[in-house]
Amino acid sequence: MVLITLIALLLAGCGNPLLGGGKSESSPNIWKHRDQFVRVEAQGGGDSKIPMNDHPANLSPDLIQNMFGSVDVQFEGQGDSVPMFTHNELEILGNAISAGLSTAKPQEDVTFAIAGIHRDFISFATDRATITGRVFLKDGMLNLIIGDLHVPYVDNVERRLYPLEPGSRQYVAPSPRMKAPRAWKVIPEAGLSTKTSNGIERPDWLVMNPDPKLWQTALAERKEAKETARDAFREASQVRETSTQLEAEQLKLRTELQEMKQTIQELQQAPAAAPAAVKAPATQAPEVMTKIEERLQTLQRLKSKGLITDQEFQAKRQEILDGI
Amino acid sequence: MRFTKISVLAVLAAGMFFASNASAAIVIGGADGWSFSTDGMINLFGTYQNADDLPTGVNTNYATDEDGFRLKNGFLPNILAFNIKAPTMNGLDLGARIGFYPSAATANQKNAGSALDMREIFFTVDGNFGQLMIGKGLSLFLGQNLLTEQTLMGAGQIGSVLNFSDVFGVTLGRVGYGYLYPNFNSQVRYTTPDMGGFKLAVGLYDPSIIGGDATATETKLPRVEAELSYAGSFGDGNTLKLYTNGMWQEADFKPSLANGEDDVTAWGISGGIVAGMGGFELSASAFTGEALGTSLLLDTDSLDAAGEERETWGYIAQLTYTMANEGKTKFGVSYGVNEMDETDADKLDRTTATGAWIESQAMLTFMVTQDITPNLKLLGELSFIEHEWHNGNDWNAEQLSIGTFFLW
Repeated sequence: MVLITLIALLLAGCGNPLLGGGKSESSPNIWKHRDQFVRVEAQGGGDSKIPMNDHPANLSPDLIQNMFGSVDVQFEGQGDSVPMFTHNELEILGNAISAGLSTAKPQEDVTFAIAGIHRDFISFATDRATITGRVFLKDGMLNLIIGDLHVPYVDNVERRLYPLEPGSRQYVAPSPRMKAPRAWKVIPEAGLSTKTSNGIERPDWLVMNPDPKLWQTALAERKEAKETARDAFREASQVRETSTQLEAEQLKLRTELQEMKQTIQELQQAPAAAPAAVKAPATQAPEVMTKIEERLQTLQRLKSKGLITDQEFQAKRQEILDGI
Repeated sequence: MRFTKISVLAVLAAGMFFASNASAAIVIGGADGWSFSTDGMINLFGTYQNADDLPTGVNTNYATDEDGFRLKNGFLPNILAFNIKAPTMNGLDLGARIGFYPSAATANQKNAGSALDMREIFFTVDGNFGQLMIGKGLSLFLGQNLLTEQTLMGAGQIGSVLNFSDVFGVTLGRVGYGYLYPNFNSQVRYTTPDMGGFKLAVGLYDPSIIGGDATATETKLPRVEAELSYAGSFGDGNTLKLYTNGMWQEADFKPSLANGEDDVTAWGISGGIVAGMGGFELSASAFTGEALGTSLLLDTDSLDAAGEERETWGYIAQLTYTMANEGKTKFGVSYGVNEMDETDADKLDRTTATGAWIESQAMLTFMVTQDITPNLKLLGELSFIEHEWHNGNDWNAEQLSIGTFFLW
């Protein structure tokens, strides 16, 4: 009975903010789901004299989504670049980081760890990958220091010993005991640069200009590129469809011509025996000529669209004309 | 933290034995947030045992005079496990795990059968409230003692199961030599979320008979097990884990014994530490309790002929060093012992054919492992075993085991 009560209370509490079930926790995290989080914490990962941030800062959720959503990364050894964040991650991070920046003090950063299904990543070990980061506004620029990027998300790791750690201002050389993470770099973008700190280039430290126009342009370009790709795909589909239709028409015409040839031959061989039959081709002649015209026009269209070569065009044209 | 495949063994062990969310190794399907994955391993060890003759005047159930070579599984059978995960809904993550544990060999007979142990069948509900685990999985009491012990991924003692004709297709690790086997049991367990490095887990378990030379078979309440643990880091990337776990259960004699005994209570407490410093890892654990047994918990050796609870205690100390070549080579040494007190009824047995009650079981083990790849592992182990009885007699055995694992 005690057990049933306990389970009922726990499960009922899943939707109860008091138990932090279905809703995001409000304190001390901006957002939390198990070991994923967005929170405000003291500046970290650098020397003791870290300059103060421009906090609190008001960056809208949309702007943060646009900025983060415009970042593509290229992993070493992989052909295509991939988005750094998924759509679902952006939805959560946009709101939570915006809220965090608006409440953070000058000596605080917003940090996050989030897991998502990154299609480029699915192959082995897990279907989910983590991104961890540290976000702050300094000198009017939004800084994003990445800790882990698309690292396998394993549920049962002892997070108390191996927590999901956001990026650090201080460069940390990879431990010889640990396998080095996959190397990556961001794809250059207007308004986006990487930091060089203490003479060390930091590809993991992104500095972003929070001018909304820049990111609207970037997004527009991205949208345009997507639409162009979509249009090209649509056009290719249409060409394929037209080509299929034309092939069907060609086949139909060829069959009809063959039938006409056969009829004419029959008429030539027995003109007196079947006068009534002579009349039939005569009455069909205008229709046949129309079809021949249509065939020639179709052929011309195929040639003008570059779907057939001049040689093919001439050969087919001659074939149609020979059939008259 | 850069999690790597190097720690796949730790992850696998945790996933297999310590019911958390299912551990996914290879994703073989899934859509719309569902995933279906498998993990597992196949291992085989060549083992050789050289044992003394049995001493006289002792209870001989706790030694064997068999020498011999076998090809069989190490402490772990082979494993094929499936994990199913549901998409996150209403802040809840649901997962299930079914683990098949088949053995490569059982008795040393050409036509002996095989053994399939269904050790894991459970589902978990995870949320910001913590985790509920429901089903069959490793028990809490002495679970961490087992998981942090090096022969988990080795062979350990062969002893009396060298040629055993029953279901033992495996060796016995350090069971009986520093802890008692917690086994996989039906349970409903709640684990809190991380609270400043602390976690508390409490579970209700399918009760067991409490047996030995007398047996209490009637169980009216579930067994209760709990664990409090702390984990954190210190210094420059050093890690520390502390834990304490305990167990309580009652059982009644049906009918009451002639001496008036009508019920028994089994209890146990345990604690341990695991500290990692660079390539070194030091771990130690200890336990004590009544009606626990000598090697297996509760249903064997727990009570004397008068129905009195026997007292057992033990400890393990272990040191490992992992070379900085991405964790490919690891050396370890461990020592552990179980000590059993003698009851009044046991003292009387010294003068009968039953013989003297076992007093201690100790084992010293040296181990070296080499990860050829993250999925292929070689292992060598040398163990020295010593048993002592309450009449002062002893028995020794030496064991050499060489094995390999393929893990996925």
